[in-house]
Amino acid sequence: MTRCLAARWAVLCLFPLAARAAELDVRVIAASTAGQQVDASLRDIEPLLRRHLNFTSFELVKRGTIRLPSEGRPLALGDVAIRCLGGQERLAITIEQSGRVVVQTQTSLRHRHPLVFSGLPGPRGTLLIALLLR
Amino acid sequence: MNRHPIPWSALRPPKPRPADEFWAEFRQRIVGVPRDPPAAATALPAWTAAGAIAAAVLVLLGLWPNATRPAAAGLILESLDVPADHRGVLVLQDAAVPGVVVIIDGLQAADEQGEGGP
Repeated sequence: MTRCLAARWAVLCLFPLAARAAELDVRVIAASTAGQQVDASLRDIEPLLRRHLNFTSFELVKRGTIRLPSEGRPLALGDVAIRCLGGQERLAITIEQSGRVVVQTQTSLRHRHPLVFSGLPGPRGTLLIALLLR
Repeated sequence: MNRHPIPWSALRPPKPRPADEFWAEFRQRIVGVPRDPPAAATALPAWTAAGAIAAAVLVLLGLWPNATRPAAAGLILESLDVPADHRGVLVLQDAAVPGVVVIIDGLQAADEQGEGGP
């Protein structure tokens, strides 16, 4: 009985620590003003996209995952590469497109708070990079 | 010394009353007798309360780094740099929808960026 209780307390106490190991969901999105289509896989960030961007159509182009904390190994999604260094509390992010560095940022990520970069040139309009902690 | 003999009738046990009569009288008497209110809920055993408090403290300690940061309410951009040629950057965030949108204006494709240069 005592051992069972101790195990429960341990799980309860270690849960917040274990929760810090997370994954960063990276999506490359083609955005345009043609049509009203929103990819089903973008429903979770659609309110944010619609609120701040004047595009009407959002199509998922590529998707990948980076395990955090990361040591900087690049994630290639088409001609876009994402490189992360650090953990979710202090994460350095570099976005490259066609071999050139487009954005460098340092951020502290939160669950259910997407970070979206808009304005990257794409073959059919504008590309968005959406980052979301999972 | 005067001795008063006890009558034999007093030494005999009383004649038992019929059960129905006894219980009927008992119920009549119990109606008017005030009774104590029900006891309050018993407190948790001391070890359970102590364990719960200890667990709460440990959980709070585990969450402490998150709880003490001002960014606990949302995502924070601590720095932002756009090395590629561009016209401007707009960072959008409000309380209505969680998240941050960074709009890079005037960013050209890599092959177009070199055009017109030396």
